[in-house]
Parts: sequence; C-alpha cells; structure tokens
Amino acid sequence: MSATLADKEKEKEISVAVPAEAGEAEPVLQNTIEWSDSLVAHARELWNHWELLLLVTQREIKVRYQQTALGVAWAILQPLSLMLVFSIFFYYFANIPSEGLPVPLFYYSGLLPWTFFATALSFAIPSLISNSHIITKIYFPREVIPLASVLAAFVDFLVASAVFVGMLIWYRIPPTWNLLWFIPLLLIHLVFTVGLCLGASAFTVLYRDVRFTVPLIIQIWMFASPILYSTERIRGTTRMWYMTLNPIAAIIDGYRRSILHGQPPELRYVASAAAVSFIALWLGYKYFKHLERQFADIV
Amino acid sequence: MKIITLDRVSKRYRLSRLGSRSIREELVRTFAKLRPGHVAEERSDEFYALREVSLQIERGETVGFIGPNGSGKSTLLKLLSRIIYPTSGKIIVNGSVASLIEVGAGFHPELTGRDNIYLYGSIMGMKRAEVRQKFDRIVEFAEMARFLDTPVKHYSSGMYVRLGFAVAAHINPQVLLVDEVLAVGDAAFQSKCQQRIEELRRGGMTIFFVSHDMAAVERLCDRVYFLQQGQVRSVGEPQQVIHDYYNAVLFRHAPTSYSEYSHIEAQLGSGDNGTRAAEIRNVRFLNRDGQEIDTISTGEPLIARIEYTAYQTIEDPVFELLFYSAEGHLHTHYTTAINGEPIPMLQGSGAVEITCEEFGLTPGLFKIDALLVRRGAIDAYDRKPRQYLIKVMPGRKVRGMFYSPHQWRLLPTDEIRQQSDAAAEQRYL
Repeated sequence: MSATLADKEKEKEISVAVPAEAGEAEPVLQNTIEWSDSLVAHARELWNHWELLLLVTQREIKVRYQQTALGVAWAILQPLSLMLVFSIFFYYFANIPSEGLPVPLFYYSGLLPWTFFATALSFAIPSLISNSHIITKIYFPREVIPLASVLAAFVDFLVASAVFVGMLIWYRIPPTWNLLWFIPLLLIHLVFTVGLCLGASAFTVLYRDVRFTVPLIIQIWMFASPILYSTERIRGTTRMWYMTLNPIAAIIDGYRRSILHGQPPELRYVASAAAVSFIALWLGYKYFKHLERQFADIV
Repeated sequence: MKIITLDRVSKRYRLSRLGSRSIREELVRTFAKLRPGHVAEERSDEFYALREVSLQIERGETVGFIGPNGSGKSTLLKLLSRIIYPTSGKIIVNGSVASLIEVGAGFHPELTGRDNIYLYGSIMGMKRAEVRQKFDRIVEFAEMARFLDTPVKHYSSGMYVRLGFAVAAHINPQVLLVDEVLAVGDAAFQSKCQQRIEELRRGGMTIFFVSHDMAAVERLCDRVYFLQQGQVRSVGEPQQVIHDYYNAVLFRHAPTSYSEYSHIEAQLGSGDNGTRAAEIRNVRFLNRDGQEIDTISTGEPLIARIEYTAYQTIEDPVFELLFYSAEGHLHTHYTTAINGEPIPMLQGSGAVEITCEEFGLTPGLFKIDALLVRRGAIDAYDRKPRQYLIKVMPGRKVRGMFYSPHQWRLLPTDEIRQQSDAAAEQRYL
C-alpha cells in the first residue's frame, strides 16, 4: 500500500510531510494582498476594506445609540454636563482663572477634544476582546475594529462640536485666520488617538487585566491635561516637558489659542506634538500588526 | 500556477501559554526567572496542531481532508483563511478565499437581517455594490424576506445559519473552504446547500472539503488528504485514502472508542439483564473457512456463532444480534425469528449460527448487542448489550449507506419484445 502511494505522490509531484530540518524558517504567508511587514502594504489592505470600516463604525454607532434612551443627545450631554459642573465648582467656588475667556466656553473648549480622546480610548481598548467571536472565525484586517471605535467617537465629537460652534456665536468670538490652525491640530489629534488606540487595544489582547486600569489612567491623564486649568502659569522647562510629554496638552492649548484667542499656537509645541503623534501612530500600528498574527490564538 | 501551496507549514501551541495572560502573571514569571536555582520552563507543553505539512492544490480541484478529531483539519482551514498564522513554513494563496466555517459568525445581534447581510458580506470581502446586486438572491436563498427588518437576536438558530450560509454562498471567491456546515438547518435546506456547493464546484471553484462523511468525500472530491496528528498520512484517490484512513484509525482507536461507550454499557448492564433461565456465553464471528475473525470487509460473507447455555428448558427462543455504529445508531439487525425454521425449545449448551452471504455494512466500528428472548415476550432470557465488536473494512466499492447485494443481466431484445407484446395484450383484454 505504502509503495503504491509513494508512486502516486511522485506522479502528482506532491511533497508530503517533508522531514523536519533544524531551525524554523520564518513564516511567510501570501495572499492576493501581499502579507509583508511593510506598513504601507498594511495600510493599502486597510484601504481596500474602507467599506467594512464604515459599516462597522455604523454598527457601533447604531448599537450604542439604540441602547441608550438619550440617543445622539448623549454625545452632547457628556461634555456639556461636565462643563456645568466645572463652571460651578472650579470657577465660582475655587476661582481658577479661565484665561479671561467666558467660563463655560473655556471649559467646553477643553472638554470637547478631551471627550473624543477619552471615549475613543475607552471604547477601542476592549474592542478586540469583545469582538473575539468574529476574530476567531473570519479574517479581515483587525485594525478595522479599534478604528471603528475611534471613528464612532469622532462622530460623537462632531455632534458635540455643533454645540461649540453655537457657543462661539453666542459669546461673539470673532473668527480670525488663525482659526484655520484647527485643521492641522485636529489631524495631529486624530493621529495620536489612532496610534494610541491601536497599540493599547493590541496590548490589551495580550494582557487582559489592563482593561481595568483604563478608567484610572484616563482620569489621571485628564488632570494632566489643561482642561480644568490654563497653561498660562506653567513656564520655562516645566512647560517644555509638560507640552512635549503630553501631546494632548499641546493640542488643547493650541485649539484654545487659535480658536478662542485668535492667536497662532506655539509652533514648537505643535511640532513636538506632531512628532510624538506620528511616532505613536507608527509604533502603534507596527505593534498592532506584529501582534495581530496571534490574536485568534489568544483572544 | 498552483492556487494554493503550503511549504512545511507548522502550527505550534504552547499549552501553558494558551489564552491571554495578565500583567500580574507576567511579573510573577519574570521574578521567578530571576530567582537563583530557577529551572527553565519545560518545552513538554508544546503541542503541534500541524507539523511540517506541505501540499499543492491545483485550480478547480475539489480536495477532501479527512482524519480523526484533533488531526489538524480545522487548523489547516483556519490557516488558509488567515484567521491564524503559522509558527513556521510558507503559505501561498493565489486568489481570494472564503470559508463556510461557522457561517453567521460576523452577525451583530442588535442589527436587522438587512444590515447584517451588508455587514457580513463586507466582512467576507464583498463590496457594498456587490452585496446590493446579490441582495435579492441572498434573501431568496435564505427564504426570509419577511424577517429582513427584524433584529437578528430574535432569529431562531436555524434562521441565523440560513442567512449566514446564504450570504457566504453568494460570495465568489476563488477558493472555498467547507467545514461540515452541511449539518445545519432542516433536510430541505441542507440539500439546497449541497446543491449550491455542487454548483460552485462545477463552476470551476477550488474547494477544500473537510468532513467525516466518507460517502460525501468520495462523491465530491478529486483528491483526498488523510491527516493524523498534524501530519499528512496519505494522499491520492479518494477510495484509496479513505481505505488508509479506516485502516489507521479503526485499529488505532478501537480500544478508546470502546471505553467511550463504557458509560452506556454500565447503564445498560446495571439494568435488567434477563431472567437468566438461559445465557448467551459468547458470540464469535467466522469467515467462510470457519476461522474466527474480528475484521470483515464490506460484501464478504459473515457467520456469527452464538453460544448459549440453557439452565432450564426454554421454549420458542429467538436469538438476535443488533449492530450499532460508533455513534450509537442501530445499523442492522439479525434475528432467528424470521428466515427459517423456528427453534422449538432449547436445553443445555449449544450454538446457533447466523449466516449472511454478503455483509452489507460500510466501513466502521460496530458494537453488537446479543439477545436471547422468548418469542412474543417482553423480558429476555439474556441480554448482552454492546458486548461484541466487529470492524468493517472497505471491501466492495459502495456508495451510500450500505451495500445491497444485487445481480444484473443484459436482456435479449426478443425477450423485451415478447414482454411488451404480452403487456399490450393484457391491456387490450
């Protein structure tokens, strides 16, 4: 039997169970889309799945708003209620200065970008784990899942921004050309958020207990960012470290300067935030793609 | 160009590292390593789901994968569908792959059927426009136009699977992976699924077919791989490989499958085992030459000799043998109640022989109940549940559930004419 089989194999030129060799070859997997380590190739594959990304985002939003009684209003209520609380307790009771700006506007301008960042993180980090039933059964670029969380948070951000625009008009903040700085700032803001969400969500697949520390980390980070207070009194090297280590601080300060004060943001901090953000994106995506191969085995 | 090439692909798991870890464990581990006298982690917990598997698949081939549970079939499909990644080796797939593994896995319970068709289609790699174009066909296939706007969480499991299969079956991949999904839905839907797969196969799609249903494998596949313990044991013509499979698996697993059913035996044995007025001492299987056998090939003659002892005179006894498959289904039944003279009475020790000219069961392991009963009575004199074992090897080429003995002859033309004339006469009379 084995002899005839061996002949058959030879005939069909099928190699079966080649004996083991010393050392393991680096695994290579190719498909219609090249499987390689190049992030450009990964990004191209992601681009091919943009429809999926939109659908998954849509699903996030639909499901989230279906489950809450308030629906879309929730997106506005969160920064708005905090704004009221901060205005009352921190300004009227504690007398924390507001850069001479109308108090609600000062707090809202910090809370709005912060809420996007915090919401994106808190939804993206457990996203891979909560979608494990899909990950273990179907292939698609896995970054779609945390990215959808970021995009859904971004939609909330856009809705809440409408309120901000209303406030700008209400408080008669004059628009200047410096307002346009918000475009590069928003880009940096997005890049940093995406990079961090990718890295953190992948890390959480590996170490599940990270999830429970997320609310605490977000809270600490919030106090480390200029939301409740102004950066005016942070000076010298402290300011340098403060702004460089926390890109979110530089971004929020940049938004306030360009939109509310009609000034250009501090360029060196915009540059450092941009550098940190792009490095975060590069590392986060690289790390994500590196771990992605193990997701289905672990999650 | 080969559509799929696997070059020495291995997938290794480390049992102690399965599942996710926690930072705490990691810290404990790290400190343990730093302690003097630390012994390096053993490598004995490594487990190869696939080991050095190489294969090449031609475009348009339907390739079957058979093997016992845990042989690596599902791992192979998961590797090909890119869900998991090989530990070592090279996988080259020159085309799009879709799998009918766990259909409907991408559904979201809160969304409606309609939304889920788009979402699932998109996860499976279809463009939105493509889904829209095929939407009506998908809905028609799934037979659920009425429930399109109902959230999927209200669906029955049958509806869930039907919708999942309908979407999956309308993707046009170059390679389709099928993993026993056919065992879903009701009989009508199952046959619909099989038809669809047959259609895709004829349309020139390359199909990977994983199944325990040897009849289906033999019917559908051009070539079959037999996997065992993560390695390819044999490959080639379906009939030959299935033969190898039975040879390897039945002999190896006979003792384990015996113990698997021991709890049933314990249950059966603890109950009423008969009045003990008479006893079945043994059942032996013989071939035509009278030699005792434990293995038979389909289509060969089988002689079963039942040895008994009657402690008192028993009247109108009937001997019966019931053949159960490994899954516990009753496949056939021999009895002395029909075919031949009834036994009027028994006294002392003796034997009864049941002869089957052409044994009809298809390959597998069968467990046998032997019964000695009184005709028309409810209690048995003796009952030996699942006490005897016979292995059936592939013999006569059989398709389907069992071999049914048959003869044939070529009719002479004048005989046909005579018959039809006679039939015509009958009609007019």
